[in-house]
Amino acid sequence: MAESTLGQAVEGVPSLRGLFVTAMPDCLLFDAWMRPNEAWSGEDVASYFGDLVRANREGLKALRAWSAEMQVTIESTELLLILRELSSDFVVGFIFEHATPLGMVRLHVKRVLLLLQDILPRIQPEERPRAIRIAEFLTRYAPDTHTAMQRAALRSGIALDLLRTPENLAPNQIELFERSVCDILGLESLNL
Amino acid sequence: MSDAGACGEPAGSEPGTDAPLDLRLGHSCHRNLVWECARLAPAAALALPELLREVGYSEQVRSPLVRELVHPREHGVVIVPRTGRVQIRVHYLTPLEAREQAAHEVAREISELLTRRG
Amino acid sequence: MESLKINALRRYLLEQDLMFLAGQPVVYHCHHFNLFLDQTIDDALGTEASFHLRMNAAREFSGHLLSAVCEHAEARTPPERLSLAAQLFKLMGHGSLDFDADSSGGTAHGSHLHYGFAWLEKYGKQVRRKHPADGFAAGFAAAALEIAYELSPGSLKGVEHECVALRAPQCRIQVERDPSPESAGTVIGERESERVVGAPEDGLYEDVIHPIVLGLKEFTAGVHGDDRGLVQAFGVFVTMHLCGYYNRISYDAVAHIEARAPQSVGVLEELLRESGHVCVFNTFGGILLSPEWEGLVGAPTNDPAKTLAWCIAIGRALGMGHWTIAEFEPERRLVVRTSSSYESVYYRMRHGLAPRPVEYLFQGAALAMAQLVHRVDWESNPQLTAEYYKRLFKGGVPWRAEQTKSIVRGDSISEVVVTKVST
Repeated sequence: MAESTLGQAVEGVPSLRGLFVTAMPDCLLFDAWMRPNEAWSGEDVASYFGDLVRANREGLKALRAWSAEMQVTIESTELLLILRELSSDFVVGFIFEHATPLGMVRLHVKRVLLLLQDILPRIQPEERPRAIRIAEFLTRYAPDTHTAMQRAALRSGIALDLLRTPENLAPNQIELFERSVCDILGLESLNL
Repeated sequence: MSDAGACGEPAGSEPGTDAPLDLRLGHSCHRNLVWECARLAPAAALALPELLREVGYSEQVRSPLVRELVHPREHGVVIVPRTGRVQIRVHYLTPLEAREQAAHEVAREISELLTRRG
Repeated sequence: MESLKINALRRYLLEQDLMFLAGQPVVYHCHHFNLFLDQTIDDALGTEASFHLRMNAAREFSGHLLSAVCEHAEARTPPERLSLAAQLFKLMGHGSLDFDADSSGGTAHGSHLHYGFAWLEKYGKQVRRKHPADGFAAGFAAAALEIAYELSPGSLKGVEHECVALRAPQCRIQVERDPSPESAGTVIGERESERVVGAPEDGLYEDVIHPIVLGLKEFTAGVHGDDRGLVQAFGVFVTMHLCGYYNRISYDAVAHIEARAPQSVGVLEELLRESGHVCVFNTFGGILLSPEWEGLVGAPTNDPAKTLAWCIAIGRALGMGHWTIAEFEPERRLVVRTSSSYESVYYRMRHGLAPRPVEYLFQGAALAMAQLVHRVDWESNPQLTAEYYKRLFKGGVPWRAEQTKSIVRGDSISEVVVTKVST
C-alpha cells in the first residue's frame, strides 16, 4: 500500500507522530507512516502492538468486559499511544505527541479509522504455521535474544538446526518447542 | 528491558534547567545508577574529597589515585584527582524512578560545595 | 572472636594468577556470568534438577571453605562458626544470611542475596520467574550448619521456599536433613592446583600487563561486600565465588546431557561458552570504562594492542589464570594461551583427561576479548547495555574461536586461536 495513501489519511492531524497498521493474527507490519525525523523500526513496533491488543482482548474477555470498541491507551512522558482494532484483520496504532488533548485524540482517531476502513483491503490472511509464530514470539520477547533459540533447543531436546526451520517440526516437537518457550518466558501458555 | 540510552544523555528533564555539573548518564549494567559529571580542574578535584567529608561523607580508602566517598544516604562519589573525573553512583536500592533525581541532588550538593569554596 | 578480614585469607598461586581463599580456589565473577551460567544449567537439566545440582555443588565447596576458615579463625562453637559463615558470605558479595537453626536444621533468612537480587534487577521486567534463584545460598546455608555442628558433609540440604526473584519480600531457605546424602568428592585446593598447571610463559606486552596486574590485585584486596553483602563495582555486581561451584555445575550438566540427550551437548557447550563471553564483555568492559581504571591505569583507548593487554591483565587479576598473548595481528588473528585455569585444575582432578577441550570460560573469554578490542569505540564513551550487546550478534559475529591446545587433554598449556571470519 503506498505510503502516500496513509499520508493522505493522516493529513490534518499535526499532532500525530506516527501511524502503524499491523496485520493480525501474525502481528506483522502491514503499513506505516511516520514523521520524517522519527527513527522507529516499523516491524518491531507493529509486532508489539499486535501482541498488546491481543493480550488486552484476552484480559478483557477474562473480565467479561470485552467490547469490539475497546481501545488501548498508553501515556508516557513523551507520547500518547492509542491502539484500536480495525476488524479482525488489522490493529491500528496511533502515536500522538504527549500534550495532545484527549478530546482531539478521540476525534482524530475516529476520523482516520473511518478513512482507513475504506482504504485497507479485506484480506483473508493465511495463518502461518504455529511453529513459526512460536519462534517469532520467542525472539521477540526472550532476554538475551541471540541465545534464545539455543536455550529452546537445550530445553526441548530438539536439534538447533531443526528449530531454525520450525515449519519442519512434527506435531509432538511443536508441543515440546512451545513448552520450552513458555518455560523460558515464565508463561503458562503463549497467546498466539 | 534496559533503557539506558546513549551514554552522555544529559540529566534534568525540566525545560530551561541545566543539570548541575553537566550531569550525564554513565555506563552501568543497571539502569540509571551511574552518572558522570563534567570534569573538574585539578585544584577542585583535589579539594573535593575534603569538602565532601566536611558535610558528612565518609571515605572508603582503597587507593590515593581513586577517591571514593559515600553519601549519608549511601550514594557514592568517585573522584579521579589526576584527571578531574567525578562519577556519582546512586545506591542500588534506590527505586528506578528516583535514581535520576538522587543523582541530581548529589550533583547539586557537589556544585554548591565547589562554588562556596570559590 | 575478631571480625573476619577476607584479605588476610586471600592469596594467589605464584606466577599462575589463580586465586585462593583459605586455600580454596576462588575467582571474581560478575552477576552476568552468575545468572547466565545458572540459567544454562536450568535449561539443560530442568529447574528442579538444576536447583538440586547447584545446591549440592554449593554445599560441597562451601563446606571446604567454611571448614578452612573456621580453623584459621579458631572458631570452635556453633554460634562462632555460624557468625563466621554469615560474615564470609557477606564479604564475598553474596548477600546476607541470618540463621535461625540448630543441628537438625532450621531457617536461613536471606536478604539481598546476589542471585535473586541481580536476577530481579536484570530480568525482572522482562520475564516472570517461577522458581527460586538462590541455589548457591541454599547450599551455603546447609554447609554452614554442617560445619557449625560438625555434621557429616552432605547430611543437610537447603531448599529455598521464598525468593525475591519471585516477588517475595525476602528470601527464605529451609535447611533440613538430606535423605540421600552424597559422598564427598576429591578435595581441590592449592596443593592440588599446583599439580595441574604448566610452566608459566611470558607473552606479548608483558611490560604493560604485569604492573597493571599487581596494581589491580592490590586494589581488589579492598573490595568486599557492603553492609548488605553486595559488591557493586565497575558497574556490575561482583562476587568472589567458588571455582568448584562453577566447575561442578558445568561439568556435571555436560555429563548428564552426554548420557541422556547427546544431541544437545553441542548447544549446551555453546551456552557455557556464552557465559564466558557475556562475563568478559560486560565485566572487563565495565572495568575499562570505570573511574577506578582511569585512575589506576588510564582512559580507555582504541589502540587494539593496548586494550588487549589491559584485558589480559584484568583476567589475571580476577583469578582466571595466567593468560598471555602469544600472537596478535589486529583485525586478523589473536592467540591467547594460559598455563593455568580454574577449569582445567578441576577437570583434571575430578575427571582426568578429557576427550575434547572443555575450558568453556577460557574459550568464551578469548572471543569476547577479540570483540572488545575490535568492535567497541572506547573513545566515544559507550554504554555497554543489553541492546549494545545484542547488536554485536546481529548479522553474525565476525570472529571465530577454536581451542587448539588444552591442559585437560594433556597439553602443557591451553590455547585458543581467534580468527577473523572472512565476509
